Amino acid sequence: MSLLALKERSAAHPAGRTPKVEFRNITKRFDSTEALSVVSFAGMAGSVHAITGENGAGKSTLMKLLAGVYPPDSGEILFDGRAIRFDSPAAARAAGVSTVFQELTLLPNLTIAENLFLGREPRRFGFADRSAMRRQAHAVLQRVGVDLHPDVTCGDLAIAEQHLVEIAKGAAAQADIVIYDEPTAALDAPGVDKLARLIEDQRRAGKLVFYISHRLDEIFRLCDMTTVLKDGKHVRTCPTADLTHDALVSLMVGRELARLYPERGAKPSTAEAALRVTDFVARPGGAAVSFAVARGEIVGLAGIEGHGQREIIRALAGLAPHMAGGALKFDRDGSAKPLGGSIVATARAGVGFVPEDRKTEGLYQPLSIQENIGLGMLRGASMMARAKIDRNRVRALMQQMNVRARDDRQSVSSLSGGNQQKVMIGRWLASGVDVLLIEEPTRGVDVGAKAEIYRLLRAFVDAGGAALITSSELTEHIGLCDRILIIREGAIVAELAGEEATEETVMSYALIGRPPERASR
Amino acid sequence: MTGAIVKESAASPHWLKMVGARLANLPISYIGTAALLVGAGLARPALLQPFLLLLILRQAAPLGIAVIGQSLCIRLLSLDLSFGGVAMAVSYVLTSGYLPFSEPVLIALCLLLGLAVGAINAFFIAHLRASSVIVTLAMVLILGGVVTAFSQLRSPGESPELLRYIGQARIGILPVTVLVWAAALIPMALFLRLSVFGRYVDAIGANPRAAWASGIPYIRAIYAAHILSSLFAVLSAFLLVGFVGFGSLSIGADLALNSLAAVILGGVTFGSGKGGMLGPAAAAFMLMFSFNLLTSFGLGEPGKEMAQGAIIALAAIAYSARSARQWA
Repeated sequence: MSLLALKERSAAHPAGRTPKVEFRNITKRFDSTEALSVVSFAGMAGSVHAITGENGAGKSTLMKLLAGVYPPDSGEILFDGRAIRFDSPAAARAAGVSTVFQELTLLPNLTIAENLFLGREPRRFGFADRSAMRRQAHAVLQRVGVDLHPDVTCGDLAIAEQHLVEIAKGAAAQADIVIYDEPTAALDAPGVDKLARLIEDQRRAGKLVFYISHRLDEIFRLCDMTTVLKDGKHVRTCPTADLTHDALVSLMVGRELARLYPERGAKPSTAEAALRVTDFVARPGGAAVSFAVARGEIVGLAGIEGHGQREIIRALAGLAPHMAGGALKFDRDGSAKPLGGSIVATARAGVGFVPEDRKTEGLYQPLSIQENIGLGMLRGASMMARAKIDRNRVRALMQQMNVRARDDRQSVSSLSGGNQQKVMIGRWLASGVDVLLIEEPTRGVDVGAKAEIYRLLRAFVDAGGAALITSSELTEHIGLCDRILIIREGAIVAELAGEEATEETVMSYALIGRPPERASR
Repeated sequence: MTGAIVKESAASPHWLKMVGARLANLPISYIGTAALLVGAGLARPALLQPFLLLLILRQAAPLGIAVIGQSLCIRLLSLDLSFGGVAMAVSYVLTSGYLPFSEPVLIALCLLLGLAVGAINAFFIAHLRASSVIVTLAMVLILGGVVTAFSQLRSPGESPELLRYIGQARIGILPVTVLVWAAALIPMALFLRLSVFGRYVDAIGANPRAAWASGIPYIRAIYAAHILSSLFAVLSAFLLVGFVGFGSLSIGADLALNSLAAVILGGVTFGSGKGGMLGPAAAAFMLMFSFNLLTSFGLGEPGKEMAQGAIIALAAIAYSARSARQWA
């Protein structure tokens, strides 16, 4: 503990108030890896406290200790100055800690009301009082700003709605300490606004809100204190107002981020197409799109979510049928293979598809890194053939991609989000495809891993590959792509060179279909 | 987030922990078989005579062969409960004499029947996304109904010569049935361990959606598994018919449930993409041995059935306790 740390600590205890929660020298080990190492800091009642850091920094682990999911190996947690120890999540809940986890915990076959009050149903004569439950559920949903009937079955809700209900569940618990673990990952902009209002209410009501996120905008918008963790160690706790964007990033990465985006390749002199899409209609009654992706190029499909980018890339991959038109993939020898038939044919044609949801569609969580990447090496092999998985190649790839793991036999489920993403992309790099269709290449991934993934993709196209990506982050399109196709209502309304595009022009095309100059009203 | 929680006292040495962890991850069938053998050695040492053990092994062979198909289906997150229906149909085709063909032709017909049943099961499961439980149970009802209808015209009779030979002969001291079991099990285990198909089975078992989205031929794998499963059921019925010496409508009725129990006891965990072939085979022997042990204690047929049900329930409980621990 240096002087500096002491100074920071006193900054966190204004006017000598006892902190609501204090972590003292917390250490937590899993097998041989130290997830948290002597972490100490405090959170005050009536504040929104960001916990941030790269993936794998220990943010979720720390909050799980507070939520009673598991105990620390050493160190103690103090509530209002008294040391406490939870044996179970239920004990933590009873003590006033409510958690909104990243993963959905709703039971799909129960209604919203039943889910909100699961295990603590309002009772009358010893039976669950359904009408009281419905009334209270309605009030909570109102408070969160969710316009859903409490009797709707959760399984019928869209993912974003389920996340809102999950948040409502946290709010319904009437806790003094509320933990949000990456709450906005699956929310749209209005959902984020609703959450922001709810959090502000909770802060005013004197609660301590811990907000785990690596989205800088949200941290600056919502949080008054920020704690940065890195590799399980406490880096700094200070008022968010004392930080700038750049300062926070360099605290998280522990180094100046040299360049997030890699240098774009030289313009291919002869534009040798790897993918040509002609009059392709991806959804019923939708517009037709035509474009090509050349070798050496990363092309982005940009636009507001829900305007058809996802449908186009999925229909090209053969995951969903397309209505009209066609797409061809060209091999290096110039021979063409049709795309958009079946996903099996897509893989055979040398085209890989990387889905946005790595958990449900991308990875084999219980299997090892070796198996996850190795399956790519079997692409196109006959089912009767001997499976040849080159472990040296897997290890070389892991090193090249900077996958942080004990060894290649570690199960993918135990990796952090960024490393999982690299494994998923690594499978296709190992498979020998030369065209990649990628949804959200860096969703839920920290800055450090982002830079590494961008570097990997650039190296892939520099070696003669071609990539088509969708992304909800404009900066990603502008920083990474050679060309950006802007989709509005299913049609391509503009094509911009990545170097020339600005957030303003892309947004303007995406929203109103025109460049900003003419749009001035 | 990182790895599982190891709750063991820090005092026990590292190697002891390693051995403990290894043991805890072994299929229940290995430990169970060992425990049963020790138990029998204490209570009924007569059961441990080599000649009796070989007899039990012979009894276990039909179940063991059915288990190969069942474990394949379960590793692909499917199920095959149609074994009883297949066995009934095979027994009728072979023994009723209603079909005026020579024995080899009848045997070929049975294999074709297995192929058809497997393909139909797979069609409903893979293309129409129907529940494998319902599809394969409906198959039992349909096959059962057809066979019952025909048996009013002519009842089942004697088994074909060839199958009776296989069911009853020995080479040296080894019953031929046991050799048939080994001849089915060993190549299949090697195939699953070494082939691309085996890797696909693991992938689909771990996450069928991801397997589909990455272009793994999911539908072909389901077809392969169900067709193989039905063919193994036919082979299993051959052994049963040959073993008993004549056909019957109740032959193989408990095959489906017992094979399910054996797969669970054999350490195949649903949805983990993991599991071998040897564990379920040991479980087939373990089940048969326990039934014999119960008989030796003088339990009648009803008592045996109750015990059988209890064993299956215990298998399911052990399985869920274990998976709860693994995923804690």
